[in-house]
Amino acid sequence: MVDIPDSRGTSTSSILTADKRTKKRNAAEKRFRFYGLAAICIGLSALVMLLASILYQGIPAFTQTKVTLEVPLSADVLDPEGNRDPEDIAKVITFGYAGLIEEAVENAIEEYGIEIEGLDDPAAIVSKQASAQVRNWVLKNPEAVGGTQQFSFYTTSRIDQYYKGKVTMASAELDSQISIEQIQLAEALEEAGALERGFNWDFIFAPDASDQRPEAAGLGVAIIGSAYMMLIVLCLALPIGVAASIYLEEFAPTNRLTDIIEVNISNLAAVPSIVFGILGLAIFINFAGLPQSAPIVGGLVLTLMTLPTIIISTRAALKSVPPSIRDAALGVGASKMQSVFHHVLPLAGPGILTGTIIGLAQALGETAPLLLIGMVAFVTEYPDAPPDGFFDPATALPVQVFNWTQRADPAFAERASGAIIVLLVFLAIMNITAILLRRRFERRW
Amino acid sequence: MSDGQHIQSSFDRDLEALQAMVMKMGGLVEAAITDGARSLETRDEELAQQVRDNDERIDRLELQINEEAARVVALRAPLAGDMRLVLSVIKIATNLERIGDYAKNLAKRTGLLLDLPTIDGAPRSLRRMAGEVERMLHDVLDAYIQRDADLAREVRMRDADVDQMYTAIFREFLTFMMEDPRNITACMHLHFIAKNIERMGDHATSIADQVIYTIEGTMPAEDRPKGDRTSTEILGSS
Amino acid sequence: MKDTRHEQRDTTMNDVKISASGVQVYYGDNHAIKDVDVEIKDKTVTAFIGPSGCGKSTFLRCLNRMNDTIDVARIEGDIRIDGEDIYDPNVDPVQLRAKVGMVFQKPNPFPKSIYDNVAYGPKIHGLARNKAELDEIVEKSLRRAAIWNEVKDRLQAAGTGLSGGQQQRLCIARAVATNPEVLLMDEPCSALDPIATSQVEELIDELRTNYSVVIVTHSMQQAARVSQKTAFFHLGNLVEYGDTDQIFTNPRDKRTESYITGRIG
Repeated sequence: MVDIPDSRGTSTSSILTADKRTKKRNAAEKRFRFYGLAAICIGLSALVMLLASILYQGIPAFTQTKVTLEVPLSADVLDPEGNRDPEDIAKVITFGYAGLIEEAVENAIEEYGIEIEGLDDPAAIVSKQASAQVRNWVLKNPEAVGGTQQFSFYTTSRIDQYYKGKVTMASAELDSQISIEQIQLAEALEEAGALERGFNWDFIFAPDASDQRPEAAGLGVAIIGSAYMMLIVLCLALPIGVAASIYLEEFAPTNRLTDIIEVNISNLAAVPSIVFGILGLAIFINFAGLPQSAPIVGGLVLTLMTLPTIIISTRAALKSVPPSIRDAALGVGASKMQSVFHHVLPLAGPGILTGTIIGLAQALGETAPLLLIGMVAFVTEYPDAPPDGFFDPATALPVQVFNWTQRADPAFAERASGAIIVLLVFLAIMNITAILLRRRFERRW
Repeated sequence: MSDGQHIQSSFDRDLEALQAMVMKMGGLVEAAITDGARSLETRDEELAQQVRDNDERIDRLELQINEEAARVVALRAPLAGDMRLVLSVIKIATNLERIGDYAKNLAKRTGLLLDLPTIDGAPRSLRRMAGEVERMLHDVLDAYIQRDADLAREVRMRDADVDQMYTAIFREFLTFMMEDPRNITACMHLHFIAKNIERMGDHATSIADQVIYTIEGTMPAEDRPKGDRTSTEILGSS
Repeated sequence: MKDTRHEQRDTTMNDVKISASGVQVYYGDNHAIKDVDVEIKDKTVTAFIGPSGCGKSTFLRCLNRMNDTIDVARIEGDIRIDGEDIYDPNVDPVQLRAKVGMVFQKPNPFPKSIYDNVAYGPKIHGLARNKAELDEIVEKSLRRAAIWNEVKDRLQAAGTGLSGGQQQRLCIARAVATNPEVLLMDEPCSALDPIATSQVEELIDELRTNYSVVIVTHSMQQAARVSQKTAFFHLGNLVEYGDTDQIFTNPRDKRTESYITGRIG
């Protein structure tokens, strides 16, 4: 035996008093815990700040101020021929309806006995969308021409913003698009019960609108576009990814070629997403001739992007199945494929599903490659039902956010935040689904 | 037996302790034989008493060996050579204890013979016979400790000499008894002593068998020469 | 107790089930098994003992071609079961493994019900024509593995919910369900407590009436308790092969003696 010198430096050591070394060690541990706690606090506060600012800015997007007006559908304007023929009615363009809206506003002022000095262009409080809204209704109900009809119109974004506290009398004075008198009119209408603020379903379901009418812009097309792309990604990436990982993990011989493939799959996961966009533009649009802005192209590009994620997570899930299960299956005479499909795959299922959902969530939030393949277009028409709809122009949620943040009207900033909330809700739903699936199907062995 | 130490050195120490106890017991038994035979020849009552008293130590030692061997079996689960060693230790201890008993018996009869007529030459013959047995025992214990199977085999062969000596003494006593019936009591006692010494030889042979088993793993075949003809022939009727 | 000593020890009557000659196994550059010749008898328990890494498990896995799943493993030599070369190119390892069942070191029931665990082998090999037949096979196998009475009321419960010893017996039931002729066991009791070990050992002794059992074990006592033949492997060599009682009382080779008595070198 070698005599080990007493490292504590004291010959009598009592466990009741901590010696120098122990104290030092404990102090180091305490410090480290503090660092960890601090890191978590920083991360959490960043998250809270982010969420708070988005929620603060975005939640007003879900409500909208609307004004209810009786619109005289005068036959002189709408049906100059007087024969109530829908084709003739359709000849009157949206611009022709503007006079009717003005009339309706003036009627309302008269009816409610509102008197505001210096009121100029009272119809400016109603959204420019109103004419289109009336026209669409009339085209559907031509027999109503000649009577009056009650409509609920958006107010312009300035009035709306006033009610949301973002436009004040002071700022209105300097604003060319709104005057103090118009705001006073809106208040008077509110008192009379013709103007109110309510939940705005159109924000979620309506298509995008032009720069001049942020109040009418909605996420409908973007949500459908995103949903179509997710469907394409799911249908392509999941089977391809799972098949590839099963082959690589269970069947492929270990040689140089498979090593190279493995390294490249890992590298592919780290390729910037914009590169996939260029690839999509070059191959799917320029070479294969698929339409621009179509969910099919976006879906294909996102599939390419998601594949490495799915392959990596699927392989991890397959690896986590204990080899004893494979041995057991082979030991009773199952073939390699039987052992994989009867035993390994069901056990890896929750892991694969989780990986897939996380891959989908990643794809859902992806913007850059979609910009390149033209999904940033201004689309006001809903795409058709699949599969034709896959080839119709559409946008995607993150692209819509990008799009709106670029527009001049401050009302779009609010809408962009609102869209981010919608996106986050979808992501949260997907992640919760992943967690629930894992909880539900995960098995212990 | 394989060489080399056990990975657990305490196992080695246990086995060594067992063998040391056997050697100690063997030494005591050897002394008992020598002293018993000398007390017979010199008619030394005191020495005989000492032999009788010493037997208790031998018995105690046998008990100790058995206990220790049982402990080793229970705790170490010895296998192969180790197992044979432990088994042989138990058996050798039993044999030694029996030899010790015979020596004690010899010493007992020595006290008795003091009051009986002397038989000329008999104590000397018996002492020679006892001496031979004592050497056998000595050699077989040597063979045991040195793992020398050849020596053990040689000891087995020497049992025939002891048997022959016994046959000769048997014949001698018959003659004495036929000459004078007053000698019968003394001769009977002396004959029992001779028989006991012959039995000691048999136990020494048995120990030799154990030694060979310990070393080689197989018991030697029963092919050694027998020199004891008293149970197969009618002797002295000439 | 009846005296079974004679039948237990008399193995010369049985035929040779597996014969291996000149078997070499290489793992890449590592020569894992060096020229092993052995004849394993039918209806006999044969134990493979030896220090870790001596190649006993490797050799065992050669007997049902489980080494096939390892890419770098290369096997030379001749292994025959009932005279048929198992490394013949015409042999399908899947078919072979139905004939040569295997039980592993760690109890590894499938995370399915007890019933499904046992029924899986017969199902994939098409041994049962209908549900009733399958039920019968399951019951018979569980009875054979001496676990029927413990699980008959909960056949639909998860196999992974059983105790370690029960799991291992379930795995044995699973292995015998395909009606194998040879049962390979790779340290079947190393993860079990002594009671469960005894139960499995008792089971192995019963299985001997129907199967040729080959068991790899680290416990010398276990080899001594359950086997009739013992083979000692050392550094990839088969050092000694003989009757178990001979190996454990009087081994012929010095290396065997050193190993089983726990000596250095």
